[in-house]
Amino acid sequence: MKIASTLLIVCVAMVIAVLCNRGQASAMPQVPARVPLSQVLTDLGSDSDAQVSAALRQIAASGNYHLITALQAYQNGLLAMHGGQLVMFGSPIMDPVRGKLYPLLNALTNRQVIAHGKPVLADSIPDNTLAVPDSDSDQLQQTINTLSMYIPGQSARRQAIVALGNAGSPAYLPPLQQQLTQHHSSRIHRLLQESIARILLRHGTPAQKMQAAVLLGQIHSTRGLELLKRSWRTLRNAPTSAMARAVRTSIDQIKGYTKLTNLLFDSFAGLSLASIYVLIALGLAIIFGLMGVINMAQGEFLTLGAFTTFAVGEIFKTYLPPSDYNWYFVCAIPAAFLVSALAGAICEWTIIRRLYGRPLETLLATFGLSLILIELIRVVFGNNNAMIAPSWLSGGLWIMPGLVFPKNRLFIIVFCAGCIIAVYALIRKTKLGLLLRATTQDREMAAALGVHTRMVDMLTFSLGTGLAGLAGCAVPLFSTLDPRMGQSYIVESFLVVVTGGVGNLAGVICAGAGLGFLEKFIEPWVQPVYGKVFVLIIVIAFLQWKPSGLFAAKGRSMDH
Amino acid sequence: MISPSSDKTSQPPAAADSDGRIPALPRLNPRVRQLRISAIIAVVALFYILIPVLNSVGAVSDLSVNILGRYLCFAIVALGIDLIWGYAGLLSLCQAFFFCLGGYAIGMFLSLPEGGGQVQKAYNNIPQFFFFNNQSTLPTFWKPFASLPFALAMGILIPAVVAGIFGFFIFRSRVRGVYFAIITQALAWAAYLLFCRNELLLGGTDGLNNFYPPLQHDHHWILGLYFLTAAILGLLYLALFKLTKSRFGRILVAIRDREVRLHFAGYKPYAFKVFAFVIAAVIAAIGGMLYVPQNGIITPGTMAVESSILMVVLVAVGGRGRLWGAIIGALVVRYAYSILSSDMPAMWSFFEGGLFIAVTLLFSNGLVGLWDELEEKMRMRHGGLQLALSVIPLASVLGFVLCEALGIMPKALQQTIATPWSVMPDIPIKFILLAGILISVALARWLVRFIGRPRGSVVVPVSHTAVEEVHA
Repeated sequence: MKIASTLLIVCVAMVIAVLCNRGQASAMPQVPARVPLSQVLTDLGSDSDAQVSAALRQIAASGNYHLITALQAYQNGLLAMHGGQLVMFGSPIMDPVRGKLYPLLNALTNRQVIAHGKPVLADSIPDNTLAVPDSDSDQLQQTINTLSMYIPGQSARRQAIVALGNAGSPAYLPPLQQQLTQHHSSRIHRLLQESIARILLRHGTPAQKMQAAVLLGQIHSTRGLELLKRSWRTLRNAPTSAMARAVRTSIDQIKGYTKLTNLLFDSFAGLSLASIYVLIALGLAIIFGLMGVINMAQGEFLTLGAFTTFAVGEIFKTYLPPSDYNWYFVCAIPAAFLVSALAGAICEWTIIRRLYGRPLETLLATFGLSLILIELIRVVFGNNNAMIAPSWLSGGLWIMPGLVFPKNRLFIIVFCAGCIIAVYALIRKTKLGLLLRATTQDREMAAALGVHTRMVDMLTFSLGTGLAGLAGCAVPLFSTLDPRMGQSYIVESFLVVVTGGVGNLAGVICAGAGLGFLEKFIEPWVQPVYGKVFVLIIVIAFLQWKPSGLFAAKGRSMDH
Repeated sequence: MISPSSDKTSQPPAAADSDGRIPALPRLNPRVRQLRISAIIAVVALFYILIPVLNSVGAVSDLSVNILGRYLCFAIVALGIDLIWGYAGLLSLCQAFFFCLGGYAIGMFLSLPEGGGQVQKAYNNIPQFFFFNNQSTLPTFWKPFASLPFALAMGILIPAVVAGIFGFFIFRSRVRGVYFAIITQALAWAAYLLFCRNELLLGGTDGLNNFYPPLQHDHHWILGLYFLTAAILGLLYLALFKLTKSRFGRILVAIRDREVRLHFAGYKPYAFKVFAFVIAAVIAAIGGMLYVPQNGIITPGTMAVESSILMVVLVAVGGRGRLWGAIIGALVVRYAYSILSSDMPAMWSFFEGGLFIAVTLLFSNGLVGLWDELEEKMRMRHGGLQLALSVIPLASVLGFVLCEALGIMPKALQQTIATPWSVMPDIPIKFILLAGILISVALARWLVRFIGRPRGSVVVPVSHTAVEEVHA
């Protein structure tokens, strides 16, 4: 068992590592060689519009993305001729004596201009900076856009290519087509095709338009959908023409594909919501389901876990170098479990223990406990805190075109699965689990056989609250961090446990998954609030059919 | 099985005879009888004569009467909760929802011009919030609420129907005990989320306000509403008292104590439970209808999950299974809330939480338990010390609340003492005094019990209600 679980953990870790690194590991695009462009650049200062235009074209063709800064300076009127070379004015610095000063930067190298061993600083931006000729301003913007396609880094390139497609000017066709001939990852290749097709559909010859429409459909381009719809509107008068048919087919193809990706994403979102419910209900299933204690403060143990995570993050931020900050989350997971479990043990020892067998009074006492915990957390941490997710949990995982799974939700699913496995292993395979099951099934018999039942009670309770703390680690990844956050989950998780059937972990897992999916799939049709009302109605209807929950404890007693 | 609801003097529990009539209770002990009569006279004189008279001569401010009137509304709700929780053993955590249903019905009437609502010509003479929802005319479902009888009828009917349908489905599927509490809590929560929405056209999170201002400021209105509330509370108390002493009341107790046996005896417990639940909902709605005019605003916050639980605590503090306990508990807790949240706002949450825990852990029979103890001691002819140990905590808590309620707390006790901890705010002397009395009495009681039980008395262990014994 130990070996199996270790192997499992290793596998999961490897999968996560691979998934996280996928983005960086892909092949770097070929950066075009730097061409000496000083001459070309100085042409920007020329009086002739045509010369400027030619210079811009040359710059665009060079693919030298370092020039973007200079071109943007040119756009903003910060480019000037200075001593025969082209310079730009950098962002101002404050000088105690002379006030605001603008450093002069070499337009080509982006370095400070040095004269007599000192950087040259200007008091103000002169009026005679190079002005962009009106006829060339569009071309300048196009040049900047084109160059940004060469910026290294996958995501920057992807954004630039999409931006070119959005702009839709035929001027972008040559660079895009030139890029298409080079070797690229399939994702970039697809984006290039898409952008070219989008431009061609607008500006190409009829044959090219036809080809573009077919291509957009083939690659399921959601970005091209609007364009296709627009051309369909113009073609509606001749619906039988080959072009119209091609456009129609493509629209249908894209719509079908969008439906598929939406369905996949909704399933994924439902699964992650279900994971949250299960994660929160898991602790309750042990405390309420196995021990029969109504713990209204369960939500506050979750809050406690969340704030422990926050506190660990703060400690990392204060005492460790920033490079280690990302690891705080890993340390916070056991810390949150321990803090919540310890708090749970103390509460069991002082309050819950005295109320066994009086469930309604336990409900009131634990509600009081929850009020005290909320106020304590507020006194210690204050109201306004934000948890920063570690960078390996931000962003998304690209699955297929048009479908990105957020990493934090993915993490929740994996984390929840891990917790379920751990709890099952603990209850089924360890000695503590054995004692726990014995005590909950027949307390007196267990005590007669020498089980320290009070101790087992305390450990069980603290296991339940510790699980709430673990849930508290994960929940703030996509919700706010405030002392009352636990309250918003407590009602749902009780519903999950009631629906699942008390005393049964499998029931709780099924019910949590069911309610999570239900809520996510109702949400697109109605407002989220009505979704929750629907869920309540469905639970009540369900209880008509199965009064003791999904997997009721078997027995003939009516007095449960 | 000892239930705190049945009088100790009426042991053994009377069983219905062959005619189905309940035999008469044995005569009360004359000393206890005297005690009870004087207590009843004192309470009636205080609420129906003394306070109105003091208010008319100006000794008690209008504000104090207004606040007392509002708290009596909570006492009305607490009566309903006591019926279903104390007698039938059903812990409902959605009473604030029914309270608000009644409150919203009357609030709709009050916000319309026909009910004296403050509307402006610039807003088409309809409540202003409609304009924030892009609604420039009165929605159809609002129109009938311009009539008071309709609003009153709806304020009772809607909660009754909601409680009836909800209760029918819940009790039919034999959801009981804790599960019932959880499902009702989910209902309260869903209703709260729903009422916060603007599409419902009930004012969203801001609720309904801008009522006729004299309702909360004019002497005659305030006293009138207070009288109305006190009278309805008295009538409801008498009605429920009759009901609980009737056959129906006994069936409720039977449901609480041994539902399964009742089932086997040929009853359908769920019908009785639905009926009791509807009654409690209607009582809560009546409380809400009286509360809103005196409060001047109704928001969804009043039906939040915590409010319902706080209403249950009113009964828990007063003591379950005795209707007057609910009333006393409601007044004590509400006043504790207002005193603490005005004098020491930061401490209220701690105190509230501590109260929940202390009530359940330390004195699970509430104030009623202290009174029962007093009666028991009177019956057993205990000495002065023993009586004092029961009277002092009861009298000091009630006296404290009364002084605060009427605004006649001595100036010397209002002063504050600074605490050495910066987190803690300054504490007024009155709190220290009260806490000192309670703690010293608790110590003395413990000592008396420790040194030796007085001869001739059997200390009846404080029993928990039968429901929990069943659950155990």
